[in-house]
Amino acid sequence: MGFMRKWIERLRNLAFPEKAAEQTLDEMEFHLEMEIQERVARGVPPDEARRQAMRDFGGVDRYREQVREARWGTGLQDGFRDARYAVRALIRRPTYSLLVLGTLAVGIGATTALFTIVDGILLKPLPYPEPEQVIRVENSWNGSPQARLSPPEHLDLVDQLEDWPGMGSYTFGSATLTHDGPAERARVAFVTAGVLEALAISPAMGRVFTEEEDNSAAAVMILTDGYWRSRFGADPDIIGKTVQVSGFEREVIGVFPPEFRMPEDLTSPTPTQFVVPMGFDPTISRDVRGNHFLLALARLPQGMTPEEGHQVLAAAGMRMVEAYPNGYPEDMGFRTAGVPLLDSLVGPVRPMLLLLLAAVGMAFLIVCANVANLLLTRVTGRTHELALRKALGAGRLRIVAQVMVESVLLALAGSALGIAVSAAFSEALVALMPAGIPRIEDIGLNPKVLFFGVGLGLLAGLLFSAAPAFYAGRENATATLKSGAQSTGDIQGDRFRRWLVVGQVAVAIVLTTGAALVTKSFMALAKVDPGFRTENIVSASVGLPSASYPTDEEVILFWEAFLADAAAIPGVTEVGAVTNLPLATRLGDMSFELEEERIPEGRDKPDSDWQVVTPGYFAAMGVRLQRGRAITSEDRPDSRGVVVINETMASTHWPGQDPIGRRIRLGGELTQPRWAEVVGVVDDVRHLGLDQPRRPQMYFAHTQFRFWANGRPVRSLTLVAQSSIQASGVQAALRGRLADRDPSLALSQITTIEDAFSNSIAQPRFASLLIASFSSIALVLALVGVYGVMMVAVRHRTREFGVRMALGAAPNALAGKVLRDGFKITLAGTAIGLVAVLASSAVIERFLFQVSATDPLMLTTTVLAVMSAAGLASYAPARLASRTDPILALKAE
Amino acid sequence: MSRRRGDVIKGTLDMLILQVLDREDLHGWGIAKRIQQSSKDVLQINQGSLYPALHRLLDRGWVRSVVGESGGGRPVRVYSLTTDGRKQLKSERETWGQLSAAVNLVLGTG
Repeated sequence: MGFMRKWIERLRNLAFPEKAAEQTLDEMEFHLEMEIQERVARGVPPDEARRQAMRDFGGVDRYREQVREARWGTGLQDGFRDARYAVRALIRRPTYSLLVLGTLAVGIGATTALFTIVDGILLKPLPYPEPEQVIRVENSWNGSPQARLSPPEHLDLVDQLEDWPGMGSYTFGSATLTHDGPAERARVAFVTAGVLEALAISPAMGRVFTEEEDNSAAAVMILTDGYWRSRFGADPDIIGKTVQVSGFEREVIGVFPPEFRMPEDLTSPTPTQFVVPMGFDPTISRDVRGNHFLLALARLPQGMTPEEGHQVLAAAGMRMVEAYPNGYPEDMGFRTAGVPLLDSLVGPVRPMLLLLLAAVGMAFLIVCANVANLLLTRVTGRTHELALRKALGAGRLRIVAQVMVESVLLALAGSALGIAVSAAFSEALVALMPAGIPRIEDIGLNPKVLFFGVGLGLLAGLLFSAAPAFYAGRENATATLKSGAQSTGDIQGDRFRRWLVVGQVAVAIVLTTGAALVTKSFMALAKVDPGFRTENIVSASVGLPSASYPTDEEVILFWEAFLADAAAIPGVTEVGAVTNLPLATRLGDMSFELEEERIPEGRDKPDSDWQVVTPGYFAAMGVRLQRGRAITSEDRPDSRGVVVINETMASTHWPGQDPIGRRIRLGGELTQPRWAEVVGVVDDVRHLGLDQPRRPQMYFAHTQFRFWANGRPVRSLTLVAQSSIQASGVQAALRGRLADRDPSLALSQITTIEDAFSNSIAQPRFASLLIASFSSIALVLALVGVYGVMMVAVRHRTREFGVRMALGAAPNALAGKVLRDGFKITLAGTAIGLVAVLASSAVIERFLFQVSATDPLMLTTTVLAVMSAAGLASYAPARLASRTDPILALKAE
Repeated sequence: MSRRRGDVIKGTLDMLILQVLDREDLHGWGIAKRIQQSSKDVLQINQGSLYPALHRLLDRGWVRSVVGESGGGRPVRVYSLTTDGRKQLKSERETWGQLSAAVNLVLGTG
């Protein structure tokens, strides 16, 4: 009861402070009146009575304040009042407030946007139960740091990891699907039953396949949610229906839940559409260890860390090497490893994202420094007012609190604006982001991001209000009131501001140098000769189902006929086809022996990347023939085996000799050896990327090449057509020609080489573009900082300059003094920044291509640019100083 | 500031107010007058400490205030004791009794 009343009273006073104060005042007046009446009753004349009573009573205002302070919640009320006061003060200075808010919104917005991206890609857990237990299983050997598994290795590991919850392998392909309508190419994942166990995924509808179905390659399939919706209209009775896949019937046994993704789908814009059993026969011979094409996953047992899992896998790999010494020559350096799945997916982009986050973080520091500068200027501008308040009895804490409230208000408003900016900004960044960045769909605003944005704002608020508040609290009231405009706060403030600007210039130097280096590195990358033409070439893939093209002759005939169709399209000048398009797909490598040099047992044989091409490919792709001849239509299945090699392969194996006419032996112990004669040498093609080292490459004729595994020709090829007309026209015509020849086939991966080329350098381009924009923002802000601090310093020294002028100083001398001052600040900042750049050059160099982080020309250029810009920024303050009017300056006091 | 005769010892003002309000409900001026009269004009209550003290007591829930009428017919805040206030008075009286007995013992005036 009493408790309730107490709080009602407290809240009422808090809610209606005016009413509480009014009542207090009323009863004091009443008190005073009663005192007067009492004195009058004792015979004191009324005027005298009033005087005495007033004297005894003291100041009503002072008591009222004491009464107020006796009550609970006064601090809170002060806070509200300060906030109201601050809002009013901010509205009265719209330029100042907008400047601070705008700077903050840009700083917080950019930083939060980048955090949103980093969160979505690097931090969010993968969409599997207990995702940290899922690891990628991979091999490595000399020259191949992240290699896949071969089927026997998969079978061995499944045996060795029997007590793990799941271990499996998978690979992707495309299949032609027919069901109620035209044929369609679909992306399919071939998975072993262990993959579904490792990902711990259960279907939304139906069931997944069993190990027996997997081993017997049962004709079943599981649809992903997206494909079930888009292709089958979310048919609720889909389970049990049969669908034609590449000419064979398969039964739909399940549908995955909407959140299900194959791990690679997180990094690829083309998601898996359905999943079928891999169908390995576990009884196959395990002696043939090559042919590494399987991606593999495993789920760690409860309580096992990824590092422990890695040890188990490494030991299993060593046992394989011991068991099959012929499969793993000593100098091959074969290892098996386990890597957390998230690391393996986002590892490649992590350094770039962290670099960008560091860059934006530095820009944010400059933003804070600028805002601190603005606040400090405002506080020192208010020195008089604050001193007066202090003289009137405001405590130091109250004054500090008041200054901080204003900053925190600004910071909060800045965060709100910043989060709005970041939402727009991160959307724009995502749109700009290059293809192949993992988990783009996971990027978005979420509570973590909001928390980050607001936290950033508050941190900024504290950072940039600490110093001003400190100076405001320390302000010596008497000194200030006596000394007139010039105050101790001005001088201390100036000194502090100077250091802020030194820091800003230092950070700007680091950022600008970084941006210049990254941009130069990108330009060096873009200048690399890819080894092929990038303009006016269209490409598209076609795969032939073995059901409708069962014989080798049919496959070869189809390709010859379709290439002829394509060549007949008006405007198309050259046509050819290849197994793997440069810059878009990976290449397999193949080992071989030179005729003149047999490799002893146990030694690693040389290997080379390999491609299968049709006649016309080199011409269509613009790969220059250096000597000899290209693959032609004269190379038939039954004619002499031929191979075209690249420059690097020629100089590696036949340095200083003519490789034409030499023979290499393929296949080795796996199949009947097959001989191929070198007939031509072409330019190196940077197949994996412009920043990748040159590798030996060999090109076989499509008519002659046979897979060692099944002795059959390549069924899926990518056609490239050089044309003088619009890419879209060529693509439409190609579609039409294919439909005329075989309506059950579909084109896939239709693109232009120009796009593929631009995608391949999109990541470094994106990074350099972003760093360049962050550093320009940072540089401009730093210059604003230099300008601001010099301007304020000149204003504070008006009197000094006036005196100097009155004593005969030349205006130019004063201007020179200011310029020198600005130069000193810039020089100090530049020196600190340069030390930081040199100290971190090892880190920076990891991001650079053919550019040294300590490139003297780059460093000198950046330093000169920043310093001359800073010189410009102090030009206006210098002019102001030179125009000081001594009379006005001295009168102003 | 030097201590004058009649200043109330710090901490005892709350108890005195509670004691006065235990007998009757009063406005602020009345409380000051009653203390002065009961102490035969020895204790002079400074308005500067009276009103903060009253608000402190209000805030702790030991007294409540209603708008009543003064003798002259003008509205004024009238204070009265709450149950909690009565309890507080009882414990303060006990403490005071012990304290004054102890002081008297020390001074040899008991």
